Amino acid sequence: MQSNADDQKNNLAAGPDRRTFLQMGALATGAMGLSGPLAARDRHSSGRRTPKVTVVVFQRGGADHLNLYAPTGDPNYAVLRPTIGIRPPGSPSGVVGLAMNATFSMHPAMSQVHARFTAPNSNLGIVHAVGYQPFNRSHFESQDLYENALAPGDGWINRHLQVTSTPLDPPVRALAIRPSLPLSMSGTYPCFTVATMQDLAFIGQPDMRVWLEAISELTPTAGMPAQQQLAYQSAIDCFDLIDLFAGINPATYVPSGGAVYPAGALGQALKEVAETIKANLGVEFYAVDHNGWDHHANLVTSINPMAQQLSDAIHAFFTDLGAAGADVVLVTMSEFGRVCAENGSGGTDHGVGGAMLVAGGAVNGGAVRGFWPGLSSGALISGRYLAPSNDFRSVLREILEIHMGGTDPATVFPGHVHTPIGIL
Amino acid sequence: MPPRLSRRDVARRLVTTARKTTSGHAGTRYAVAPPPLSFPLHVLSRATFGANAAAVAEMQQMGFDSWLEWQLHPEAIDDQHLEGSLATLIAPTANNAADIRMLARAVHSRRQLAWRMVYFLNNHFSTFRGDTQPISETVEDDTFFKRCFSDFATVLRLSATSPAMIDFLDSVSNIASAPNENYARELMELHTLGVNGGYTEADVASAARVFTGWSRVNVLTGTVTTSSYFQFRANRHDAGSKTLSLGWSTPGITGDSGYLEGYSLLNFLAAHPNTATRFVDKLCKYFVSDQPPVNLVLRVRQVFVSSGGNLRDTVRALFLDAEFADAVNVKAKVHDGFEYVVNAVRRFGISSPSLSVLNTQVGLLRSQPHQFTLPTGYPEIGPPWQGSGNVLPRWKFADNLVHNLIGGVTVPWSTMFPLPLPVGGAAWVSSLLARLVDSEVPATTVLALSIFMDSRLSTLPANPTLTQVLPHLRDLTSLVLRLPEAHLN
Repeated sequence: MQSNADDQKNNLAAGPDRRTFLQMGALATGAMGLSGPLAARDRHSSGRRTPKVTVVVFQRGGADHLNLYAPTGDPNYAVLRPTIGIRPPGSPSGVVGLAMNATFSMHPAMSQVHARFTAPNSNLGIVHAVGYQPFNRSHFESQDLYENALAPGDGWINRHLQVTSTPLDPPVRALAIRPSLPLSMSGTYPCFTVATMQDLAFIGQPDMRVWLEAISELTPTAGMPAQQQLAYQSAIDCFDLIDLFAGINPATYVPSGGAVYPAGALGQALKEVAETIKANLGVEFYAVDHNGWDHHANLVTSINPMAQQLSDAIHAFFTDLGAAGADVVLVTMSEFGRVCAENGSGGTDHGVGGAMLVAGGAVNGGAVRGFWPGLSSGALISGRYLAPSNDFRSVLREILEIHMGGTDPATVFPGHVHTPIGIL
Repeated sequence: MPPRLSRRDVARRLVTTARKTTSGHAGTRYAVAPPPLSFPLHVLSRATFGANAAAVAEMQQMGFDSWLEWQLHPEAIDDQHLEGSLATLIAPTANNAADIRMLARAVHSRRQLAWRMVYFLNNHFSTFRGDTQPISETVEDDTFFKRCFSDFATVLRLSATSPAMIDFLDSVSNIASAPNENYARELMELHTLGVNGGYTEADVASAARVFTGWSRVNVLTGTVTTSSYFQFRANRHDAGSKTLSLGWSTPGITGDSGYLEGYSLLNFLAAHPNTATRFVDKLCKYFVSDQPPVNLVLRVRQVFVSSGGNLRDTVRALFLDAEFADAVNVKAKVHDGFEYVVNAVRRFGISSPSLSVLNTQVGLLRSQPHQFTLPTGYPEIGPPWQGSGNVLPRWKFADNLVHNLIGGVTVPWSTMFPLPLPVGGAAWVSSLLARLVDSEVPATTVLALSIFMDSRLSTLPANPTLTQVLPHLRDLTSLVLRLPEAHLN
């Protein structure tokens, strides 16, 4: 049985309908039992919810937040990082930080973000010394823990989508601009990926699309092996995304407000996110990656272009969004911070406490928020690691509860004891 | 231009055709689903980068047991035609040399199982070529090839002393006064014990001290054939005693022999039961299934342990295991991007594709062998290679390939289809499916593709030439390569 919405959608392509395809299948195989009801997802209702958006930027590799948002006012800092450390504002030499407040300076390559941080009524803030307990210093384990928010199985974004789902859900509520789905979006609620929005076009003659779509959507997959079922779902997703985002065209998109995105994957991804946000298609969550933060060696040279790219991309993103940025919050996270003391390679090894940047919307910016444990030897864990004083889940919970309009914390962040951060 | 069909036209034609073809004179020519995958094709799908005609013929001629044994002794397989051409293929100092050489071996080598193994080892001991000297990756791959069926301990040491690993995980700057933990941590977490393998943070710190002073000579001044670039700098080495909670210790070795501490620790880790568990599980996920049968894994692990980690015995046991051939394992895996591209090239029988062009295509599928930035390596399992984010770029590759839009990579249509040509859509479809997709494809799909092709053929004169069919054959082939089953392995 087809819905009107389905009919309308299928009008663009003259293809076999579901009943015909099944009848054909039954005739072809002689197996009438094939024609059971299809459990195809109907995600083409046109409902709209509040157009609030959250963009998650994952700094893969374990960003050294003690050099991005450096506690230069802490006397221990220069002792722990004699060669690679950021120098306090006004220093005559070295990599000199940009003043944030009495304790912190920002990496000078992040001048654009710094300007937003210090602007009047700033809506860009930093939460420092974030993490979780018990901590983990494995890249992939800790990335998973951030993305499942310490609840194994599915992701925090997916759980939020589950608990806030209504019959009026738009077809795509969560989109990752990367080849594979991040764990944060994995789970029972349908989420989607695209390596770049430029991929969203069907290549081929119209009749090719008709038949491939029919094969993908109408073949009964019950009883197929798991990977084969997933391959069918992947094909269906391709068609759904191609249709939904037909109006998105990164090749011809011109950013607003004179925004200039930096070269590289992060700038490209955020540009595509901005274009899609402005198209107002109901997508609430975007996930993008910023790869390359694992600086065990030569940190000073390596982190500079990364910091600049991050800063310039965030600045361009909100410049481009303009007034639409009032509905958008961007949050960064990374799987861990680094050891407070530099190693002999001019870099830093895997540590614990890190930091998150939160920007946009009604963010209470211009401040470094959360409890700051400091870098005294007594405050460091094992004498080496910044204490994870502020649970990253508290930041995410504020975003969901205050910016996104509410969630079910017990389901999305099970076992988490909330301590308000005040970033929103 | 193909005819534009209305929705009603298509539906009517479908039912009419299906009725006609299942009720009498036209026989059941549309109704025949491909037979289940044969055992030889199942083996070839895992032991090679694509069952091309040559591989199928070799397997048929030798029989499975002999073929497997032949492949397990790659040094005895004549591959001079390929190996001799590599020197002129690409300068080993080029940034993408190792990627292109890996592609050359995957596409052309007769030592398919060995290169399958190197592909696995390269990813298990993942190094990112952006953080190494380009030639280091070439050196490492060639070294892995020479020892790919030796012992795990040997391969582990080759990795530890390889210039690529020395650079990538910072052994090169690991010094006594302020050790760098990068290699020590990933050695235990990723290369041997596994993240829950029983080591502590203190063990990471101690192991980092063991590897202080490990370094390399300048690889660029050496030649590719030099066996080792490893260098030990005793003046950077912490020669104090070290103890790991796992049950290994050293009083510390001073002087030029200090690197023997590292050798000892590597051997200890290679022989650790948790290493056997983790490595064999990963190997079975790679060669058998994302969820390999528990008892198969246990039996293979037993062989790994009893043979002292011998990789030839381990891989042989895996392929000979009774459960390997179980239907549940057939086509239970998903191609990664590299495999999808190479499989297509081999199955088409594209004899001399431009490998640098292919490498660029693999890059668009985010799957170049030395381009994973973190030490974890690419996933062995299917889901991260599925989803629209992966599939859409593959569709584009497939369509570009069959429409001759990828320069230097040409599908040999006239070789694939010698006269007499197939007659009718169904014959074209079954021929293509047999050639390109050895998964079982649902009968409805076969029928749908056949009707598509018939509708295209109906615009041509009777008994069309290949040139006349070709535009439509390209489109049909594009569809075949995009079928969900075409992504399975």
